[in-house]
Amino acid sequence: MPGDPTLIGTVQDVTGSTVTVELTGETVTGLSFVEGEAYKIGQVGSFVRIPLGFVNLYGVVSQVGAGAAPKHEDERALHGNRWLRVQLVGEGTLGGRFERGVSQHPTIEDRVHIVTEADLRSIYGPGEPDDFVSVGRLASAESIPALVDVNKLVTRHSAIVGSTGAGKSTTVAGLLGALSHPQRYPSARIVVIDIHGEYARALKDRASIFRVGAEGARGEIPLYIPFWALTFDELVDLAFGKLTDAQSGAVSEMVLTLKRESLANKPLPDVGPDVITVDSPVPFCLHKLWLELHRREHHTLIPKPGAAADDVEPAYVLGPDGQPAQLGDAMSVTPPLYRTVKTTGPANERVQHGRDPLGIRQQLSGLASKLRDTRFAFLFGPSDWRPDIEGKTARDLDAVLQAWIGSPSPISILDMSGVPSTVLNELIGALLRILFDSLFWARNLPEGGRERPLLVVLEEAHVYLHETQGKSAATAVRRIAKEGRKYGVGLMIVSQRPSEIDTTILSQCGTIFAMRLANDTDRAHVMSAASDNLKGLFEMLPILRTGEAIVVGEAVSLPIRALINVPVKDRLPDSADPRIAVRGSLVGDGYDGPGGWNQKRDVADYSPMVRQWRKQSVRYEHKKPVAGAGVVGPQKGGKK
Amino acid sequence: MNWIDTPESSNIARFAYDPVANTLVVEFLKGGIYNYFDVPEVVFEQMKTAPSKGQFLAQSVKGVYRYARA
Repeated sequence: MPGDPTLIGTVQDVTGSTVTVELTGETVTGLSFVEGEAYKIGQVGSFVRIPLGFVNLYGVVSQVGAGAAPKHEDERALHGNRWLRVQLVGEGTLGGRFERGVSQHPTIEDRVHIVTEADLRSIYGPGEPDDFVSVGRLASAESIPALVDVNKLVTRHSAIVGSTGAGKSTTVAGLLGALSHPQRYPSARIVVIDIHGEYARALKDRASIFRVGAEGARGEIPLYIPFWALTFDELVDLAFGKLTDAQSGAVSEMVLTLKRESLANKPLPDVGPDVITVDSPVPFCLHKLWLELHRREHHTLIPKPGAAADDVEPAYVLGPDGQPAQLGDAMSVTPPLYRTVKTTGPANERVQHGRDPLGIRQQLSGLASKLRDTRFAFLFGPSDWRPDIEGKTARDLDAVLQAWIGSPSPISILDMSGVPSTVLNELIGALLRILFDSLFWARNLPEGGRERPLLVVLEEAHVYLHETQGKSAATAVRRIAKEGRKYGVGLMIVSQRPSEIDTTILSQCGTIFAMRLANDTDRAHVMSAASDNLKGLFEMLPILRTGEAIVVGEAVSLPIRALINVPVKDRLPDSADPRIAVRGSLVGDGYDGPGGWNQKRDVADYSPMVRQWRKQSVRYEHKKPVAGAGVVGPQKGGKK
Repeated sequence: MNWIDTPESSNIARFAYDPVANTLVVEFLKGGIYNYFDVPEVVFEQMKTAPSKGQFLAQSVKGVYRYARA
């Protein structure tokens, strides 16, 4: 049928899902016109249609030219290099819906057609409009929206990968903007773990921002993670570091006793002292634990000859009045003072070593310094959730959870930029575990994950989901990746180094948004994780444009090469590169930014720099410089 | 704060002045709002009348007054 402008060739060879197509003589120009629209033939990544009776088979072009030709030398010579290799992806009944998978194969001389915009519309069109959300436009036909299935996107997990500058943050901001649309999804529930504080700006009108060391002026809410909501293992990691089995057994016994004590002081509904374990989220006083351990570890004794073994008297340092100089105080982390051991001299001056120390002096002094450190206050001294010496707190965990996943705004950004990097991994692990546990146990409630699913966005995931270093975050994420679907917790993993992410986590991601990715190792990693048979498409990854993504997996009916919608300017994430050379001129209309290497220098004063550093805050409050105090005048080189 | 829009500038979107804190606030078209501190009101008045706000900012404000990103 030479008159049909959509015809491009015929099937010559079929192997599994791969079809080799010989182009017809008319199409060698590479351009065809259908209904006034020009179509380029033989673009890698474009789609073809093979009608087979009442069924249309669809495939994607993976290779063009001599390399796609059959192996036989004489056959190649006969037809020249006008070959396409096509990967079959699915079929559609005439006028019906498109489905993945093929029920039959084409045979030799079956006709192959280009896919027109009308065909694309029927393939990519939404089956159920409620299920789909537009994330951008098809790169090949910009009039067609790129739709993804929200159900699959959230519950089957997704990954967004791409080199720096490929447009990842913008894509995430665009996706979250679409998913939190106030009219379409008024009950959307999204938590963003943002370790660099990039997203506050992009999502400010739809998100509550939680931050360690929050600044109320910016509408930020302080982030508190009460230590008593952690499991014992998480607590040990964060508070003590490494403990041997014997040591951790003894400590866990003490924690359990303290939790029971606190329960007796302030009973919690439905929680008896016999059902709680050392892992139960019940408040207890960590300061008291520290003091008790400190006593056990450091105390010395005044021996009483002839008395029973347990009849001992601690050997405190005595003040001038004959009373102990310092008995120790838990809440202010003041250790008691003990006399040093003395085994010679008169009997009444002798001082013995204390009984059964655990050998955790180093860990204890670490804990003491953390209890005093204001940077750890969000964890060990969390304001209203800080247990007093009796283990009572002003507020319970429900307030924490409601703030994180039940606030009026659909998105909660947990800005971890103020968290000391040494504990970042453990803390993210604990946080995700708390979220998952609470949604898991509430799965029959309207607040639970089954009724109102949660999407967790893990930004810069390679930092804490590394295969080798740190395990806490990776363990929590692995658990959500495997079980989250059943309990309504979905992951969105965002990373520029997918090869550094644990393979089991990446392979659980049902949908992959792959942006430009130049590194070979990263590309191979993404390819191996993709559940699709269209790995050929990933060959295009190094040459994608900024903001362009290949979307494969469960949330899309066919792999899409899409241009992601760019959010409006003031909703862009705060991750644009610093400018070395700003545009403009001093004599023209000035420059398009205030900094850059090609502008004259500013009056330098490094004392605010140190102030910000000490404050651990980027929010600058201007103080009028005192005359002559460290301020250097205009630089010599600067033009007048 | 009363913003003054500058549609004629190719670099600056709008600017404003806080007479209490003596702060000049400039928003660039590229994005980003910047505060210039301890700017006398007279400089703001000059900027209002300057034919090119961008040039005035680059020549007479930049390098003279401290700034910080808001």
